[in-house]
Amino acid sequence: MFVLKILRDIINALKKGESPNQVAGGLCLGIAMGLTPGWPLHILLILIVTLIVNVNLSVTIAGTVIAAVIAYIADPLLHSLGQWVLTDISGMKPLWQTLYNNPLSALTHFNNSVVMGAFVVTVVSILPLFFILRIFISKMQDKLINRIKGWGIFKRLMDNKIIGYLFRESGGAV
Amino acid sequence: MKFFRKSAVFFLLFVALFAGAAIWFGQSSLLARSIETAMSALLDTEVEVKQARMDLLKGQGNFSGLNVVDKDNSAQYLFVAGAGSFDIDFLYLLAGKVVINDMSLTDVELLVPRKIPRSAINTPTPTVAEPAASAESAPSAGAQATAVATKKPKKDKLAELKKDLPNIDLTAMEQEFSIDKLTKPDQLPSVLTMKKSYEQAGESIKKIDGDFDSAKLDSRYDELMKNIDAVQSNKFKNAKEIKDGIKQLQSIKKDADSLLADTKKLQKSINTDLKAIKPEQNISKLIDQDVEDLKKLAKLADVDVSQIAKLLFGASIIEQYADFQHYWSMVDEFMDDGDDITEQPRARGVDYHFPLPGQPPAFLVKKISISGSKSTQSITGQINNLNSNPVQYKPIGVDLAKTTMVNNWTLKGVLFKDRKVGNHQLDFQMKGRIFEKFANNNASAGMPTQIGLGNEDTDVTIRNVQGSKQFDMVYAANKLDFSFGVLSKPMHRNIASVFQNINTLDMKSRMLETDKGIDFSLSSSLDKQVSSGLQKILGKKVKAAEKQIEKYVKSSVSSQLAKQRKTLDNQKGAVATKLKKSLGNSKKVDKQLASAEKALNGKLEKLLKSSATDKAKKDLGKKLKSLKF
Repeated sequence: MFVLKILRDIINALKKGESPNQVAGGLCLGIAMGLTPGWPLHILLILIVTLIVNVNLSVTIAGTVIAAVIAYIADPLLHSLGQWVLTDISGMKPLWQTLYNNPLSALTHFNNSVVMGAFVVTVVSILPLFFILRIFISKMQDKLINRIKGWGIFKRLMDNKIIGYLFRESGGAV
Repeated sequence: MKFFRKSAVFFLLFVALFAGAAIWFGQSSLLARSIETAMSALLDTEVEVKQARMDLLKGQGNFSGLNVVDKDNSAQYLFVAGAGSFDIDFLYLLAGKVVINDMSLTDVELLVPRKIPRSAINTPTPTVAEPAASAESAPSAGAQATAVATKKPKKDKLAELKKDLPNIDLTAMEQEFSIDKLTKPDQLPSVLTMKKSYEQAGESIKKIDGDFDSAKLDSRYDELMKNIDAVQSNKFKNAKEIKDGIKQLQSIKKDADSLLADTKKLQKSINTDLKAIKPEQNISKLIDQDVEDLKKLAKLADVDVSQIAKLLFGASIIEQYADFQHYWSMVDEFMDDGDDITEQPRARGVDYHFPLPGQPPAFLVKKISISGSKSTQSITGQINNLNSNPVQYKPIGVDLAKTTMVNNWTLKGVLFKDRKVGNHQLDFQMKGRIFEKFANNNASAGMPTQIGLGNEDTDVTIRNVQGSKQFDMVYAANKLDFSFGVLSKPMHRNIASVFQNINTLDMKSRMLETDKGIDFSLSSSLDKQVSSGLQKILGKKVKAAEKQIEKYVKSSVSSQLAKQRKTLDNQKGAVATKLKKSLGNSKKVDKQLASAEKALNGKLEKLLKSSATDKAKKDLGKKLKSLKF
């Protein structure tokens, strides 16, 4: 039931319940958490930020799950990227040495190739992704949902209890 | 969703608060149990901590009643520290590094009888736990998981520990002490003293023999016999002559009695002198002394850093050390190629390491002070910079006078035990000094730039690559054994004269990675308390070696003793035969005298009878003539 509730919240958010910023922000934070393996320090910080700022938590959870699945497949790429950053950029070595020997930064597991790869991907892609997602969600809320509502197959699916629960608003309107 | 958000925040806060409160209020028992669990896993034996407390903000803590149960004998504690305090670096702890700035252990005792509670008497001891069960029940988180995965059954570990125990064999000792008593049993003090005593006894018997000869008993007996024969051979014509003969015999008898008295006097004197000869009077004491001396030598050869480390920290810390070494050796190899990183594959990704000089390694105890004094034992010591760094040493100055080193310096197991790694680069300052001496002594012969050290178990190469005071050591073996046995004999004689009767250990070096030197400095009455403690731990092996020593000394003495006894017995026998002969002569003389006297008395009687008959006849004739019929 909890999963269904989250799905319903996600659909509602995509429809018009939340602002595009909240949805896109939640998704980006979720992707950041999902890409990184384990629970290094910076991911804990992202989690705290997620709980503090006003983003859609259901979307964040969905983003985490989706990103974790993608990361599972993309681990070799993340590893190669992290390896390149950690070993091939000689100018960064002093920074890595400083961080490695700093007790707190060691908790970020930055020296792991996959963590570093995921971190780089997150840092590089988080802002463009946020803006792209915001535009997409904004358009989706305006037009896409209304277009889907008009499909005959969608109307027939609404007869199903679960589908109906997910898409119907509390007042009964679709 | 707002409810979910609030719930999550409250939940996290609650968990944090609960954990904080639990740590703050219940940390004494929590910490004590944690130390017990961690140390039990580390030392592979039961560990008890009565109380422990820690100030999280200051990173300082203290504990009391730290007892480490002897793995081989659960009825006693191997190591007891009445109280202790430590100063741990909390920040490094967060980063997964254990950095203890200072640790102090007081009221330390070794091998203390254990008071087992009644309730625990019927419970199985941890040492007999099933290997599989111990592996399954071990903690599974973090680094412990790795340790558990590779954890061996206890019996195997015990067997491994026993296998790693030092060899106390006479062959090695023969190598070490080529000029001592072991290679020349006739040089044993007991043998020497016994020989001397027997020689003195031989001299005494010779003197007795001389006295016997000077008494000329045999010739005097011969003379008496001649005199008797002379008396017997006389042709007595009348009673008077016979009476004279009897008088002569009586005189001879007096001489014979006097000679017998002299013989008996001499016999008494000889018996007294022989009784006074006790060549084996102190031999058992001397044998015991020799056995003890040799045992002491064996023990000295045995007391090394590894044994003390094992005694204090158990065998598993050494294994942990080996793991760290393995890890760091990979760093070393990488650094040798001019790079600063190494790879260690994991399930997800690869960890890259960026060690810097001056930074603490994963495990570092900067200072451990140990002190304890009881009526029966005392121990004080200090271990500095106990750490998990690679085995990289740079020579530093060592005062040989203060350096403690046994003749058979064995470093196997403590810092160098690593079965996985092929090569380590090592500099070892003590060797440097020794080889410097070697170089000086053998300057004319030319010092080899590469010296292979080793025996059946080791394969050690020392390369003189940095001049006379510094050496690189490359080894490819699971232990290092710096036995001097393979060096030339004059060399290890010199060393033996420098390092003898030493019972403390002092090892200094500098780590390449951290500039931290591992510094073992333990002093105690090692030859008594610790040595006896080690002896208990080493168990059968030491006992077997001691028995061997005892057997060796006793057989050496008894083989020499048999020869000496035979010689002395022969000498005694010769004197006794002479005495017996003299006493026999005396009896012969007596017999001869008695026979001669009897013969003379018979003749005299016969003569007297015939003369009486003649007189009666004459008287009768006269009477007949006077009768006038």
